[in-house]
Amino acid sequence: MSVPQDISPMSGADAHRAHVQPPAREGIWAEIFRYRDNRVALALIVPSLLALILVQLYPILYTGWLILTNEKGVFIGLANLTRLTSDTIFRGALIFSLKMAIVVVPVSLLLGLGLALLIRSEYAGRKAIWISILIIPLMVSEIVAGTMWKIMYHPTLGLVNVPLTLLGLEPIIWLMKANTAFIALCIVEVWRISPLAFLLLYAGLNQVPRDIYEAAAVDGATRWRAFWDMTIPYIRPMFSIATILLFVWSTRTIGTIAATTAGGPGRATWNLSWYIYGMSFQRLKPHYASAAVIVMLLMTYIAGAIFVKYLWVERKQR
Amino acid sequence: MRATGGRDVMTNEQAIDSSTSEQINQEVVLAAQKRRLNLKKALVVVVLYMAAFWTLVPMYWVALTSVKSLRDLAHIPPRLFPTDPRIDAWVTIFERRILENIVNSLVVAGFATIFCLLVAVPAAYAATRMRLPLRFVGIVVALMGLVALLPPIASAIPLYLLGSDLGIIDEKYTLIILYTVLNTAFAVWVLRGTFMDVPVDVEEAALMDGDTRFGAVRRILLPLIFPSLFSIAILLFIFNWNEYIIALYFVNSMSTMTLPIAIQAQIPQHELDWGVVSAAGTIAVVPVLVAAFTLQRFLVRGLTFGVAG
Amino acid sequence: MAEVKIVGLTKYFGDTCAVNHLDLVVKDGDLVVLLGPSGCGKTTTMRCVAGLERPTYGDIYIGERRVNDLEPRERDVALVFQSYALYPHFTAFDNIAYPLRLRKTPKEEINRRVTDVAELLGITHTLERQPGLCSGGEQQRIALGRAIVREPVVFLMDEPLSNIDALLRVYMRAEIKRLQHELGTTMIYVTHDQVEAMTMADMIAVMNQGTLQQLGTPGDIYDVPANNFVARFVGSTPMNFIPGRLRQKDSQTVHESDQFVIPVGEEMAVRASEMCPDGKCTLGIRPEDIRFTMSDEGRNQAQVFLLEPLGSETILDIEKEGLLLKAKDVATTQIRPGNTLSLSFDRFHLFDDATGQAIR
Repeated sequence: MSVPQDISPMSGADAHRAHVQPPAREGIWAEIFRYRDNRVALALIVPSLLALILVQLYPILYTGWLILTNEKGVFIGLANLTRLTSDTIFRGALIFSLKMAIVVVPVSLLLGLGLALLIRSEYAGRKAIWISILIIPLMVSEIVAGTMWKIMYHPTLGLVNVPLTLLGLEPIIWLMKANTAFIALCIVEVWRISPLAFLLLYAGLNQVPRDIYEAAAVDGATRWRAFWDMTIPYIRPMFSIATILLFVWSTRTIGTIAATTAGGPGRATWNLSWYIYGMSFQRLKPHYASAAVIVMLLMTYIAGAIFVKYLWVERKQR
Repeated sequence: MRATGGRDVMTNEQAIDSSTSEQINQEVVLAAQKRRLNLKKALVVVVLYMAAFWTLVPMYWVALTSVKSLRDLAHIPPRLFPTDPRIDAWVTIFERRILENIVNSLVVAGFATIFCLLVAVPAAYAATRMRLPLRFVGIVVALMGLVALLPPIASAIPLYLLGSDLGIIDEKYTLIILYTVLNTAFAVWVLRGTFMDVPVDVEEAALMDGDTRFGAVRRILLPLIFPSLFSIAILLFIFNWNEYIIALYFVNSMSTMTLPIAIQAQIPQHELDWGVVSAAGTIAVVPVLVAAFTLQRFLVRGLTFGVAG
Repeated sequence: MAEVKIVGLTKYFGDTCAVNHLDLVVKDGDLVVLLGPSGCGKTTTMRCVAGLERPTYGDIYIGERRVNDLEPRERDVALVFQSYALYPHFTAFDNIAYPLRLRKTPKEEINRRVTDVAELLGITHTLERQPGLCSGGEQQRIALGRAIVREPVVFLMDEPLSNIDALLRVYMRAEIKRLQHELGTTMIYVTHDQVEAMTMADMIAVMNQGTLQQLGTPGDIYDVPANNFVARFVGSTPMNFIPGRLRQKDSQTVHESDQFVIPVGEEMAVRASEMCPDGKCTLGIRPEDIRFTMSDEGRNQAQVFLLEPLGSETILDIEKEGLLLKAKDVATTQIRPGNTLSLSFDRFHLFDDATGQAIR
């Protein structure tokens, strides 16, 4: 039976509204400067905007100028960039960075997700303590992490080779060969940044309301099913954010390489950051190194654009 | 009468019988469930212990190496526990004036943290509490988010060249300024999330009760967000304490050398120095351990709000 | 003590119009309720009076002063928030004393006034506690105390009773009305609960979509609604609406719908022909105004399909050809589902379908 209140024409109520025009769109600055407390607010934001300009705008513009000139300050157009495309050391460093990200990011995500699910399960008592322990590597500086693992990998002092010798195998001299050095560095990076994945995904899991699991259980879903249908959609945005942040973190690492291999053996473990540092500081070619900075910025900001897009979507949903 | 009574007894017995067997059945099921639960719990706990082991073992190993005697250091395979702990390495590291590096790090990280908060707290307040046009706030916040992603190495070259031109390389105050501005974007971003977490109502009530804006912030908002503010300060301090890349470019002498650079300088030229670098590493990790336990609750909450809010 | 005058108040949030050209005068000492569904602009209006929002257009006067450019603290108004907005890190005493301390009131006077107010509200026992340890009702009264203690010229209340349980709400609304009466302070009270509005208000301002729909005494609002929105919104058992059209029949004007033919009085018929020339209008009748007899005769018959006993009275759900009507009968009614009733409609309202306005 239909309820008459719904079909009766009630929409007439606002037909006679006295219409007032919305305020004319004025420039954003005019709007800010019109009111006193807006001016105060602006004054409060300005110092951090200045910081923004100093670390962001100025360096980018300056980098843009640097790559167009050589070390003597002579304008050379895009020569630095074209030189970069045929630079095998640069190509090696770029490939090394990407290769490392491809290994480190998925492994860290899986590890982080697994641990986040474990900590969130009802079987993990004293969650605070577990979380505190698991996030420690996140706060250890790159150089210290590198130093620790250099000792861990040391052929005689290190712990890593102990199980191998116990099994009667030859100890591996991890940091001296290109292949094992890559694996060793990947392990260091996973140790260092998987806690970030853990932390982000755990925060994401905390946003999943518990009662939807109860609802799913009542509806007859198995735990596995509930995981795919409930948990995954809920943490997908956080998962994307974590992926991007991990990518950015893993490509910018420099201290771990500095402390463990210093780029060696040969140039086998040069990554982008190390290349930029080496070119600018050790070989004193900041103009040429800036070209590599541009490549790195591009990589970061493509990731950043995706980051912002996800935040935007998130905000709109609220 | 008798027969009836007997039948009654019979039925009662039967009833007792069946009920006990049901009870037993139930107990069996419950026990099985409990066993399964215990098994699961044990599994979870074992995996967590493994994760904790994986996390902590490098730190243990460094601390261990720093107190090993020369004989232990030379032992193959390496000893898992010290047999003859020595503090020689620790003496050496202090002889190499690590204390000065620690002081440098404390000064730079401490001041940079304070300045960063002084810049970022007003900005975060203005962005969340004052009636600026939404478009403007959106742009500023998005910019802050992007800058928080910026790899420090990308700013390092231009800032280094700027610093050389101004002649302020290798000064502690340069490091303080740089650490302040490098973390500002991140700090504003996180503080904004924290501020949004406190209902505006309470401050508005203070305004209605006759307080000024500044008074409402001082008497109402700041006491309410103090725990978060404290956590963010510790987080910023740790960032600064660990900072490596900018220091690499801007530190030339012992007078400015911060701990990460000092540690790198200790990475040994010859085999017997491993104890020394281990001691330095251990020193660097101590504040991190303290911070991790202080920060965990805030980090989980802060990320939930700061990133998704 | 002051009159509040709102002239042409308009508030835009970006391109969204929250309040649309609102004119309202709250007389000195009156309790005016702003009533409307959520999002109707009532809270925004009140926040403009408080000084927490800046009007896009229009002026607000408190007493003789135009207050548009004054900070909240300069307006001398008190606001009780829906969430109470108590300071969680202060004790109840400090919460109530806070406005006095800001005014540099001497310590003994603060003690005296806070104690007086606490006694008046019956919260003396909570004064040493922090708000988090008080019950919802106590928190509510602490918030009230904080507003009362400084003797402002205007009270503003933003749905203060919506977070407490039903029984206490009935008690508190009488309490607030009594307080307002005793203090004689002008009060603007915002709510979406029409029962609260009817029981407390000297005047009710019904709002919808940012526009003032009707301003009147509770009696006027109930008996003489200005349009179909007000008619629908006010009344705990909602008004019945019967869509149809007006036409001449046997030299008399009738409202004819698919279900009923209802004669319209002469005076109303004249007004209707002026206001609503196409004759399309909806008839609205309150449940208590539907008269009925248990009989199979008469023009307008309908069947009862459900009884809703309320204890003090019974609601009859009546159905005819897809139209649902609610009528009221005594608790001891003999009518049972399935009975056929003969209905008669005497006191009713007509609403023009084109504008929604009442015809009168």
